[in-house]
Amino acid sequence: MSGFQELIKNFDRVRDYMRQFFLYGFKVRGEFGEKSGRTYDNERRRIENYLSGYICSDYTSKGKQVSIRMDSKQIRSNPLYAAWKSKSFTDRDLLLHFFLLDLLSEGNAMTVPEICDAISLQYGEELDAQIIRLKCREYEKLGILVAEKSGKSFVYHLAEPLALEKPPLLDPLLNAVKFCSEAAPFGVIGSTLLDRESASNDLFCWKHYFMVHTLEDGVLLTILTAMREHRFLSFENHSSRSGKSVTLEGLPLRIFVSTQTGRRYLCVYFVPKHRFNCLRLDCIFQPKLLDVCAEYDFFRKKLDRNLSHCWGVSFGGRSRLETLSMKLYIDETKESHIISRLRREGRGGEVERVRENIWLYTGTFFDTNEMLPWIKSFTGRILDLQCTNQAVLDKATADLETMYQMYGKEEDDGFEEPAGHSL
Amino acid sequence: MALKNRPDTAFENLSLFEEIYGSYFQAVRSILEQASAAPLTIQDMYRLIRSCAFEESAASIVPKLTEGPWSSLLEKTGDKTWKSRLKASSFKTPLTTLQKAWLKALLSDSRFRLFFTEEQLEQLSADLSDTPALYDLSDFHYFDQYADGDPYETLEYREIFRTVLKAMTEKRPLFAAYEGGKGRHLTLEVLPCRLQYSPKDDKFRLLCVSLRHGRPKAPTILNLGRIAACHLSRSPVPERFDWSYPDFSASKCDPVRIRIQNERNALERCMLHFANYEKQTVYEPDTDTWLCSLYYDPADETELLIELLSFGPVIRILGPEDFLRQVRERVRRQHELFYSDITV
Repeated sequence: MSGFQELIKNFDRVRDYMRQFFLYGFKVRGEFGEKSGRTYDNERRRIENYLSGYICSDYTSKGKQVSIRMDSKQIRSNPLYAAWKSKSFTDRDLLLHFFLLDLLSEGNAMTVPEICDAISLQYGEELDAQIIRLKCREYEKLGILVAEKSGKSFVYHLAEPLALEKPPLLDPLLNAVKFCSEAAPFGVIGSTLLDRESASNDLFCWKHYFMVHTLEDGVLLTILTAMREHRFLSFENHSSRSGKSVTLEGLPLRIFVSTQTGRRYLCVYFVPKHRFNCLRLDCIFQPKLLDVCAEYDFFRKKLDRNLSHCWGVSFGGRSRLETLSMKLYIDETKESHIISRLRREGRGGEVERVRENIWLYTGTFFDTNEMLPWIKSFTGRILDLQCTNQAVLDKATADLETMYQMYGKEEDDGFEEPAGHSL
Repeated sequence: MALKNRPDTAFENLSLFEEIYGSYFQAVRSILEQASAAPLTIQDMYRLIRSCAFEESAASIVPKLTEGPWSSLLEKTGDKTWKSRLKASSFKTPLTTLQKAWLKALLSDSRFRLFFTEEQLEQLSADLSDTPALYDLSDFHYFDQYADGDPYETLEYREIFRTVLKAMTEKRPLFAAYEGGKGRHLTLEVLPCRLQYSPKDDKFRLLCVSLRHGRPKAPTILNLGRIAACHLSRSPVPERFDWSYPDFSASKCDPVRIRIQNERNALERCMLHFANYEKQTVYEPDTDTWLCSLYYDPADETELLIELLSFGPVIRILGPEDFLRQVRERVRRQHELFYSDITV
C-alpha cells in the first residue's frame, strides 16, 4: 500500500465509511458492497489513523470487522471531528499559507508582485505570481486577508483581530467555545477555534451525546444557506431501506432535531404535492441552491402553525388529527417522578389526575403511531389506552401482548441464551 | 409560484472542509512556532505532530519539512536540529468568516450567554456587528427535548453558573446551598470537577467531590438548577487531589445483551438510538438477527431499561439476569393491569 495517503479530497467517502464503522461496526470487508476491497482497506486505514484509540477489530467467520467504540460520557471532544481536518492540499498550498502569514505579519501590506519577490528573496522559492494572486483571493474569500485598492493594484494585509481575541473577553469566550464546540450546531467550527488557540476542553463532559451526526454538517451548511436566502433546494435522497436514490426539489424550512437519538431531519415543503416532509440529513447528498421563493415566509409560518401537532417528524396522512389517551397507575407517594415524566416528555399533551394514583395523559397529534415507543416506555403502568386511530391502538396492544409472550410466562424464565452465544 | 433570478450568495462558498483547519497545517504551525524559539530535533517534531495530527502523519510531515518540498520553512542548524526560516514567531490565522459567523450565531444562544456578563455580551455584539450569523436558532426545532430544562435566562441561574465556572477554572472549593430530593435543603462544600450537559434533559449537572473537614469524600452529582446559592470557599484544596479523573461512574457492570430482529427497521433504529453507548454488535446469519452488547453506567440503568422497553418486541433483552428480572416484572405487571381484575 505504498501510495497510501492519510488526507482526502472528497469528504463524502469518509463520511460514509466512518458512519458505517461507528454506527454498525459489524460489517466485514466484503460487505461494503459497491466499493473495491482496496478502497475499503484504504478507508479503514485512514479511519484507524484518525481515531486511533477508539478502533476495535474483531474476527468473525466472515472476516475482520472494524468498529469505532466509544462511550460518549467519557469523551471530552468529538473524535470524529478529525474527518473534517483531513483535507488534502498541495505542497504549494502549505508553503504559501505560511509565507503569507510570515510576510504579512505585524501589519505589513503587500501587492502580489511584492509578495512574489519576497518569497523568492527570503525563502528561495520561485512561485508564479498568478498562483499567489489566486491564493490571496481565496484567503480573501475565507476572511483571512483583506484587499485594498492602491493605485492600479490591490494591496493585501491580514484581517484585523477583533476585541474578543484579547483579554478580558478571550477567557470567557474560550470557555464558551469549549462548551459550544460539542453542544451547539456546527461544533466542529468551535473545535477549529480551540485548535487556533492551542486549547482543549477541560471543563465539560456530556450525556446523551450523539457524535456521529457531525458527518452531516457539510450538507447542513448548504441547507441553512438556502434557508437563510429563502431558496429552493435540490438534493439526492438515498433511502437507507431500499438503497435507491432519487433527486428531489423542495423548499427547506427547518431542521428537526431529536435530542434523544441525535438524528436530524430537513423539513421541506414540496410545492407540487402541497406537503411538508421530513427527510433524514444522513440520507441527503449533493444539496444545491436553486431560485429564491418569494413566498418563503408564508410557508414557514404555515409550518410553525403545525408544529404543535407534530409528535416527531411525521405530518401524518391526509386524515384529521389523531388523539391518544393513556391512563396510568402511579403510586403518588413513591413515584411522583413518573408524573413529572408525563409533564416534561408529553410534548404539550394534557396531564390530569383522575383520582388517587390514577393519571390520564391525552395528546392530539398528526400521527399517533410516532408515540408508540414513548407509550411502551410506560410498560407496567398502563391501565388503559384509547386512540382515534384504531390501527395504532391495535399495534400497541399487540406489541404489549407479544412482550408478555416473550418475557411474562413463568416457563420462559430460563430462556436466557447460553453464555457462549452472547458477546 | 413566483421565482426570482438567483443572485450570488454571501455564504455559499463557506466550507467546513478546508485545509487551513486541517491537522497537518496545525502540526506544521506548531513546529514553526516552537522552532522559532529554539531548534528542534526530529524527535521533538514527532512529538508535536502526534499531539495535533493523526497516527501516521509524522512519517509523512517530517521528511517533507527536513529534506523535501517544505524544507524552505526550516533551516538545519546543527547535526540533528532545525530552526524556523521564517521571521514570525506566531502563525495564528486571522479568524475566518465562517468562525466569526458561528460566533455571531451563538450570541443568540442562551447557553452561550451564560459565560458572559451583560457588559461583555454587549462588547461581543459590537465586535461582531458586521458579521451575519451562520444560522438562526429558530432554524432548529428540538422536538423531543424535555420541557423542564434549566432556566438559563434567569439572573439567579446565570450568577450561579458563573460562580461554579470560576471555581472550576481557579480550581477552588465551592459552598453550595442545594435543594435535594423530597424538598430537603442541604449545604455542601464540594470540589467542582466537570460540568456535564445533556441536550435531552437540557440541563447542566455539576460532577464534584464532596469535601468534609478538609478531606475529599464521595463523588457527587448536583443539578445546577437545584443549587439555590453558592460562593467560593476559602478551604484549601486537599494535597494531591486529582481534578481530572475522579471516578464518577462506578465501574461498568456487565453489558446489557439484546437480540435485534430483522423487522420494522429495528437494527438501524437501535444503532442510532444507542449510539451514545459503547456497544458491540455481531450478525448471526442462522437466525437473521443481530446480537448487541450495550455497556452502560449503572446510574443510568432505569433510563436504559425504559429505552429498551420502548422498542417493544423487535428486540429481545437477554441479560444480565437482574436487568432481565426488572423487564419481566414490568411486562407481567402490564399484563395484569390490562387483563386481570387487580385492585389499583
